[in-house]
Amino acid sequence: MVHILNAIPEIFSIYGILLITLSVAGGIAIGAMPGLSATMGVALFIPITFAMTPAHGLMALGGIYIGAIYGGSISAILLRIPGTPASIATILDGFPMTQNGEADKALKISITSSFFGGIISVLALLLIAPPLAKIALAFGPAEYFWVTLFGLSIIVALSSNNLIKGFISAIIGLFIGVIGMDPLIGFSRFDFGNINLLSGISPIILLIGLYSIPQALEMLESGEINEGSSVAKLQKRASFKEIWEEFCQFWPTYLRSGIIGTIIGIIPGAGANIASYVGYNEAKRWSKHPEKFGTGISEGITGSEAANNGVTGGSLIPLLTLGIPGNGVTAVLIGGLLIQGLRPGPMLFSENADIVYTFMVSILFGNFIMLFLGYYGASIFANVVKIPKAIVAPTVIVLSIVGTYAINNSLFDVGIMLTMGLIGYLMRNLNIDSAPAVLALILGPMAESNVRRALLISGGSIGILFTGLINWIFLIATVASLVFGFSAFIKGRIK
Amino acid sequence: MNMAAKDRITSIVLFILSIVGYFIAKNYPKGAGAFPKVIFIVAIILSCALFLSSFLLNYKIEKKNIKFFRLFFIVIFSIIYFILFPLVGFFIATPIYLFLVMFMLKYKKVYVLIFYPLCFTLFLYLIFKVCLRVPLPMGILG
Repeated sequence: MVHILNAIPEIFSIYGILLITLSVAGGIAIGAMPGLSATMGVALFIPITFAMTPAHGLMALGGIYIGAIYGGSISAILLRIPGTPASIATILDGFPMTQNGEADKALKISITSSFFGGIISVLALLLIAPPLAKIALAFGPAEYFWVTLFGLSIIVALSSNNLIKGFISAIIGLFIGVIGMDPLIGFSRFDFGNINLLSGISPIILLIGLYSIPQALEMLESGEINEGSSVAKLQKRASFKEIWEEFCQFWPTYLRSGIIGTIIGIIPGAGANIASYVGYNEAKRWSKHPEKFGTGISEGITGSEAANNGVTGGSLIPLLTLGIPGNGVTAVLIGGLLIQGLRPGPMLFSENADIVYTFMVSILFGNFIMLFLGYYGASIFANVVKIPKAIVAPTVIVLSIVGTYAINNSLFDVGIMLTMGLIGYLMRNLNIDSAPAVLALILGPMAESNVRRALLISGGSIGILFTGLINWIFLIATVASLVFGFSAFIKGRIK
Repeated sequence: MNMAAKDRITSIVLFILSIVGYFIAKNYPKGAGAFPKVIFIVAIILSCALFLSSFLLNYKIEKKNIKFFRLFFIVIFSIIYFILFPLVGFFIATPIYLFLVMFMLKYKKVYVLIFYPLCFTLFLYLIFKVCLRVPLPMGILG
């Protein structure tokens, strides 16, 4: 509680309010623009937050995160294009509402749902994270090894429609993670005689490359690029009373989807897009009129949007307590924490409690800002879709180059970033999902140093990995997620 | 080329690289080499699995009409920009790069073509140079 009170002056300073407002607004615009994802937004802004204090930097990144996840719904509703993958199920009822002339109502339902989901998840974060961090403090290297392995296995199982390619992606990430000095004895590996590779490659540089360049190239690879999309004028305005009545009628959907999103956020590997689908399907299953779903029913938007913003706070729980990223955005945030000199993990709560609480409370406040901006300004943000891709794509490339350069003033880093971007584009065209690579890149070095530390403690006996309840829980969970992934793959894909 | 053929090529490339990697890691000291060796052994198994699976799996046929020429030029332009900006300076190379790329993508509105690269560069100048004080290469302006 003391920490929460300490966070208040920092957040409610003029600078704090301005920073959060600008970053949420920036996030919404990024989210609303098809082709730019929340992960890319956070990755591109990390270099800019680099010069701020850690607390301010995290406030800005948190604002972009929640704003972008919500912003995707604007283009989903108005154009039938999800601005980010997180709004994929919002289209199903959002666009039909626009066709029925209820675009304004759909946008307002979407922002209230996103707000509600976001609030539930931040409250969960504030309640769950501190005690969980205390439990996590008891984790030894063996437990950490299994936790990282579980995170990896679940992302491989979930993220790819071809399990083998999911594994290959993870292997690519693991390999990149071993480049540079060995974590225990300092032996340099795969540095190819290059002095810049001795200390390894900073994850954030790889992530900027992997999340911005392929998207920029994909925007240009086909289709119309010189004309933006046009946005229809909102015809019928929805009054506050109407939205309030909707809320009173459908509050269980808001609550259910918010909780579903939070839980999905906590599970490593499952992201906001999965939450969007699950939230939508559950809303349909519990609805009194499931047959109306897909024809433009506001409950459908709530189901998807409360769930995807529910992911935001949920996904920060494993990040802040265990240092384990659960999705792309949190992987990028780990990179951000590292360059600020913070070590993600349970120690964060004891060593940098003020920063962590400021971050969490600022997200809570950011949700209110988001509600205000989205409720009154969604149709203004919708205008970003008018910007043609021929302008957006080169801008993204320039931003990623200057941003990467700004981190270490190193041209070598820029070269690595561009190379990674091209590898990422190649992977996309080979249908190899990059998400497992990203998480493996962060989790691989953690897994290696922990397993070796555990073996050092035990004097080389691998028995240490199989003693204790926590180890077995994560071991079984790892095997279970792989078995699940493998059976789904065999069923779905074999001729 | 269909996806099955692409998968076979990927698997062969992965196989060769993993074998090479394994032999490099084999010479590392005991602790340092273990994890990379595991990675490469798994990669070798995966490359075989991918090769075999390319004969067994259903591939959905997707037609993407990729404009290779356009992409090729963007990539080449970006690489030239990356090489040139330390020499001529960031704030000269950037507007030229943006203008050339947009021009090459056949963007038509002349005033946007001219003013957008300048305004965006000014914006970057304010953010990175004035606010964040990042020492960006200034080239002949410096």
